[in-house]
Amino acid sequence: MDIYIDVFQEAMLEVGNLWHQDIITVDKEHACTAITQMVMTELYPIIFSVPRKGLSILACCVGNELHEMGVRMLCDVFELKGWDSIYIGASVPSENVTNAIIEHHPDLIALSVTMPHHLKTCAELIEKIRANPFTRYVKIAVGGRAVNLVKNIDELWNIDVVTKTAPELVLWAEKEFK
Amino acid sequence: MKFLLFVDKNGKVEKIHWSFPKDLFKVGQCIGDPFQSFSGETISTLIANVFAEELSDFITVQLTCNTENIPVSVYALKVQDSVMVMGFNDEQEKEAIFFQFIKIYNSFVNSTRKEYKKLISEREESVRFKFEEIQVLNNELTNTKRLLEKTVAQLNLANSVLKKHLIFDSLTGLIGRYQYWAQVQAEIIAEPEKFGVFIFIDIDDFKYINDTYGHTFGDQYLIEFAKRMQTFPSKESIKIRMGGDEFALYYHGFDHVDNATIQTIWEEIQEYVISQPIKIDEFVLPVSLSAGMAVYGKDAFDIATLIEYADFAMYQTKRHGKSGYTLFDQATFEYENLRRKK
Repeated sequence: MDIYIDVFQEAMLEVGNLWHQDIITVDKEHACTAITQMVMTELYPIIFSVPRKGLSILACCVGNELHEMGVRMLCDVFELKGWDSIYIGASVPSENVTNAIIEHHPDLIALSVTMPHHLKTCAELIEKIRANPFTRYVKIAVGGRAVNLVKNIDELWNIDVVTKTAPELVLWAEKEFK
Repeated sequence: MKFLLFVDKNGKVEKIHWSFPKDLFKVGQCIGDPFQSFSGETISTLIANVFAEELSDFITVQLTCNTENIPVSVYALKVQDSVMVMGFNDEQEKEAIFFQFIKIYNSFVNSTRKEYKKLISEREESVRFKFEEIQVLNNELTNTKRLLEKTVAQLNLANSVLKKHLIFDSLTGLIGRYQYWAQVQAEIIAEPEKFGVFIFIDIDDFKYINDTYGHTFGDQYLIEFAKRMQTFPSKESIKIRMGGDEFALYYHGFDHVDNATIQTIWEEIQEYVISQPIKIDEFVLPVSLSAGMAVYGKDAFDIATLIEYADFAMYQTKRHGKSGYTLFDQATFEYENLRRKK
């Protein structure tokens, strides 16, 4: 798990900072992202051969997010812990999310919001999941930059957990699904 | 006299900004027309030169007008596909007009700059958009690869489970009926010049155990029986469950096989499998089996015949009162075959 947190995540944060400070151009930022993604795919044979626990997580980016690497990394970390992950991507319509929950019946779903203007979409999605009798019992975790900007979001939204980092969510999930 | 005009490369008036006298020029006519022929030609040449050489500086010439001789200063400047021409004959006015001209020139330069910036920012926007498109495609590619790798891992897992089922008998963990042939063959191929012994084993009266105590109990009996086969000190032997209550052993690598070799194998079976009764729950059941042995390199030189002969020998044991072993004998086999044909 260290390589995800100490290398990949650190590298991506650094690249983001350099871009914000105008030290690197957008092409370099995209190249760094692509290279990191390529290196991460090399780890797939390892993370997917970890013995399975019989638990699964379904994850998606809420809104039209280009930066979906964080959620994918979260899924990879869960795979490393023996969970099966279903990553359904970014900007998925809410019906598709509820359908995916019904199809895969995951133990936990993780919703990530990076841009603040997508918080409303996320809130609506959670409402829909909770209103559907076939999906309302799934545990919901939320995270991402936009979510972490809002105070007491766990009181505002009908969710089970909000975490700042992937390891935090893994720790919570390991306890919750002992 | 003063004027500010736009003319094309041939000196044809395109636009009149202002002129004094007011009707000095007309749109469409040549700029040299109101002047005397010599002066008209000079101004046309000036315009052609300014246009051709893309001059962006002022040029001054002296001209003579139709009715009276007036010295006129003419300034020409190429602006895109036209030439801007400015003329005046008053030195005092010259300065004021010059500033007005500079104002026009500046506004022209500024608007050009604005257009250029817009063009650049549009280009940047389009570059950014292209990068985003690439990023989206890259994300899709990574997600597809992830899904593919995940499926490969699941397939590998399913394959290893299947393989395990194929190689090992699921009840006893011994080599299963689909795999033993390949293993026996591999040992023979590794040392083709050596001898081997195939022992066909059938548990005596297993049907009685199954019928009396039930199939679950029977399965437990088979598991216990197989465990005992696993404890043989000769690790090189292949321990096989052929199916039902039939088991087999194959030893390979002997330099020669004689009665003493066969006797040693039988004693091992007696000691590790038969000597102690099997205890399941409160029941204690003695172990009895019928075995048949055939020698590779002596009785048979291929696996099918070897197994056929060992199986024949096992039935000889059954026929002669069970609980024991028979070593394959070619003469008996031929005699029995003949008898059966009759």
